[in-house]
Amino acid sequence: MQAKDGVIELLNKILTADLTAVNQYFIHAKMCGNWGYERLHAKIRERSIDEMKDADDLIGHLLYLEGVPNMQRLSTVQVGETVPEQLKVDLKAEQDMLKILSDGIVHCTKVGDFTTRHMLEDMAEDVDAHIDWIETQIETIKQVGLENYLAQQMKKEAS
Amino acid sequence: MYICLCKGLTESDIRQAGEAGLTEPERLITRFGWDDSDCCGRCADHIDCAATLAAESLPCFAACPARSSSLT
Repeated sequence: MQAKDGVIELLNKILTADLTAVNQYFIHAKMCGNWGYERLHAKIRERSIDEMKDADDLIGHLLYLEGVPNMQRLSTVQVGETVPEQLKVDLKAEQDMLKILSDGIVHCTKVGDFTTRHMLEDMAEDVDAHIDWIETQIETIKQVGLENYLAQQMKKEAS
Repeated sequence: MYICLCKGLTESDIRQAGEAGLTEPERLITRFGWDDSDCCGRCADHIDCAATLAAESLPCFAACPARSSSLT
């Protein structure tokens, strides 16, 4: 199916942000695992895989719209040296992602592409949930102190 | 923060270079190998940011009269 005006560029822009996030969250997850913070390792790794699934959907949708998914382009992967730094840059990445998605949703409405819009809305919902999670971690650190917070991250959360 | 993943450099590496008096972009590029073929080159594109960070770490920076007069 032929894409509406600007939708391919839009999807590729989101794909770039997604692929960057996959790498950024994955390195953070592995670093947390290496430090012994099993809970954070599991949580952040899961988030990285969620981004990969979003990338999966985007690539499929781009091909369906007869576009070429740009797998080459990545933004700068921001890596924090400590857990608070990691949370800070991940929050920034998610906020940037939400902005791109919101602009995309507005654009899709304007050009009348409601399938793409629906897909972006689902992604925005996940981003919202992740922003909420990160903000909670930052607030918890503020309240209980970094050492207490990190001591609670050594065990995996019971699932 | 890690500022260069190709070379595994952090902000404190740049600050240390600054403390040792390395603040000119060209010298930082040579020191950290940002012109090597195995480096993605992004840091060289943003060399001014690294140079500023290094300059802030010069021992004389905090006491610099030029700096304080520019702030007032």
